Amino acid sequence: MNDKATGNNVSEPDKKGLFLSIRSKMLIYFGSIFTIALTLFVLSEMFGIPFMNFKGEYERHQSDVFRNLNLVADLKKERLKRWVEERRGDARVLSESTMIRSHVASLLHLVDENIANGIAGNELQIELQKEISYQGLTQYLNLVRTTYGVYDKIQIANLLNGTVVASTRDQESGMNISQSDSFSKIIHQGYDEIIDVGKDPSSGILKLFILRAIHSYDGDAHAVLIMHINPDDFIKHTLHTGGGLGQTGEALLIDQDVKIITTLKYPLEDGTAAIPFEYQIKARPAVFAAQGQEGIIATEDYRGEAVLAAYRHIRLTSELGWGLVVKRDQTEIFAPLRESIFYRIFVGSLCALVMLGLTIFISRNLTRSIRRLSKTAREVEEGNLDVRASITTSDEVGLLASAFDSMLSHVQDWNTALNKQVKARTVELESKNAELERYTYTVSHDLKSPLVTIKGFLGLLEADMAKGDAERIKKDVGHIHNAADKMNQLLDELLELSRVGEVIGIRKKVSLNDLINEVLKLVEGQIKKLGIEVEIAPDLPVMYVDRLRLVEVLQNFIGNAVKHMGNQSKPCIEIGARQDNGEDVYYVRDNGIGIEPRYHENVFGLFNKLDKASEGTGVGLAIVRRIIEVHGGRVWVESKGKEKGSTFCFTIAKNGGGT
Amino acid sequence: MAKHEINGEPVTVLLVEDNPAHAELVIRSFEDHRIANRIHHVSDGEEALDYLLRRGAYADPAKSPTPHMVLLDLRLPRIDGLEVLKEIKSVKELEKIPTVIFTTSSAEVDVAKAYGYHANSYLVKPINFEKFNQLMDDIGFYWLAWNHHPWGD
Repeated sequence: MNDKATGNNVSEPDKKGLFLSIRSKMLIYFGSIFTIALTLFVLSEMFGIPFMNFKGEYERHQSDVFRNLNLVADLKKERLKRWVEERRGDARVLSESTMIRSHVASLLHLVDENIANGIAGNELQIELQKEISYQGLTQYLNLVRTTYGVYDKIQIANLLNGTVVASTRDQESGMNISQSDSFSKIIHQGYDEIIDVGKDPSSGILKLFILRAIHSYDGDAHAVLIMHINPDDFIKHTLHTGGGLGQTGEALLIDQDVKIITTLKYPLEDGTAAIPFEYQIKARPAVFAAQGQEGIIATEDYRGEAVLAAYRHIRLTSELGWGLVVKRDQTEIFAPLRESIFYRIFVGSLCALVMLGLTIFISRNLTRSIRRLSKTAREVEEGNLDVRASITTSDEVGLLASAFDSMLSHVQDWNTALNKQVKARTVELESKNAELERYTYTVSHDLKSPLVTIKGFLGLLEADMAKGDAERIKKDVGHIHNAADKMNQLLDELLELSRVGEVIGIRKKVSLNDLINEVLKLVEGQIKKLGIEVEIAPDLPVMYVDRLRLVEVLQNFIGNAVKHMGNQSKPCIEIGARQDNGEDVYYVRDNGIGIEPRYHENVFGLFNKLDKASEGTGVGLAIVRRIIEVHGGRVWVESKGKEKGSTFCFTIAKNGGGT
Repeated sequence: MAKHEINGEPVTVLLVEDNPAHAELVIRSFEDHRIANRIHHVSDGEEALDYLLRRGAYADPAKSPTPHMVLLDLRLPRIDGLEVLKEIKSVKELEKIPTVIFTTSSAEVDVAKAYGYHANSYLVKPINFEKFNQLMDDIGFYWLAWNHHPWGD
């Protein structure tokens, strides 16, 4: 039981470590190879290959966006610049127009007179409005304003005291605007032209101002033209037209102090809307642009949001420059990429699933025959040699299986042959063993027997000698002699028997008929005396034997037949050959006393004598058997019983049992 | 002598011995010790069974009185001693007869087989004459004098 259990354990596959079937191995290998390859492919496609001139889609997309941003930024910069140029041109045209200059000169004069007369405020305004010059001038300015549609209002003021001499808004005439920042700049800094942003002192609205000095005919600047532009109305429009920036795109304009000029698209981080000209942007593109640099950058904007940005500097005058930033959120920019990653992963997973299915299918196909083979091998291990894998697939496994099957056939043949051989050898060994047993038995029994006799009669001899019984003494000595002789004979025969195997001489081709005739000559006298008729088959074969030994065998058989003729009135001995199952069997048959079937085996035993009265020690047939065995044959006796005669048969191997 | 009779019958021993010298040793020993007054000697197994089963030459019961003991050698011509023993122990009329194996063989197989066939005793012939003599004396005393016989004293 225990053996069997351990035997089974050996065949268990999970004896050592983790057992992985080929299928799971293939799944793991192919799965990991595929996943790694797919990941590498997607990653390289997305982000390029390091140290190689292959740019990933991410980078390509980013440079596309940058190109686009550059285009938009350049476009906007141009448009803004032109727009501002146009506005400056407007101012120049107006300030240098003869009509305006003459009107302004007369109005200035009028205002100066009125102020000198102490007239100011509404009265001055009324005085002005009465003037034809004023009416013509304001009419012209209004025409300009409505024609261009850009200007919020247009004013002309005295350069020296800031009194408004004309305005597209009548109620402003006569007002003093000398306190406004822009105005003071043009007075104090002596510029001919100023572009400025700031609060309109009359309305408080943030505005872009274009101021230009108006010169008298003498050439002195005596008045200033102030053109108000609401930046949100026009610049913002410019900034935000043109598209190409997607949903999150934004263009923003900042002044030299990085303060925004227009309102922002998004609220600030604290949720409030940034106020133009007050809110200063800290984000890098805006700062760079304000500093006069141009370029592109991937960074964070004023909200802290990751963006791609192009920044430009727009130089308006030698003193004034604006910064322009065109930016777009990276979230939006890379959304399609993310989407494509998602699709790629989706498609990749689909591929992986298909591949898994294929792998399972293939591995099952591949391993089916292997599993069958191992099942067969296990059955063989359990001792069933009749199984065959019988796999006919035309691949290596098929080859292996057919090799396995043919190996199995060979093993089976060997096994059968070996079993036969083992059986034969076992029978042989058993018979040898029995013989050996008989031999020991003989030594212990038959050799001791004469010793008992000798010692016993020696003892009796002493007593008889003491008594002086001569007759008995003679008898005792006789017994002792006989026993000693017997013992000698036994020892000789034992020795002979033991040497039969060794003393078989050279085997030669011998005619059986010749041998028989030779033996018959030896017993001729007795045969004649008893009147025994001898019949010999005429055409007995030639045998390959040790001639002397076979003579001994035949002598034994014929001698026994003669000896045990009994009271047969027509004694007869027949010597011949017959075929038993294709085997040549030679026999010596007599019609003597016969042997009862139960003694048929015994007669060949050592020292087994059926007839105690017969001479010999019972070793003859034992020697015969030994000789025949050494010649690769068998010997046996056939007899139907007492008085039925007996037939001694033997066979001889074709090669005489030699090797 | 009273020793020579059991219930008024003469003490009979059947000696089955193929070796005439041994037979003579036993017989003379018995005679010297005056153990049995009737020793019947047969020299092969077949003759022993003929005697016991009263067959052939021994058909007459007067010629073949039931022995008080069978002294049986093992290696016998025709019918082996063990066969004889087996026969004795399988025949109802004979099975009670004390059967003593008396042989030169001390082979374990023989001992085992003999007891397997219900031998009453297994004795090995001593080579030493004094011991042989002593054993004969002892067998006589033990089996024929001391021993109670199955068919009653």
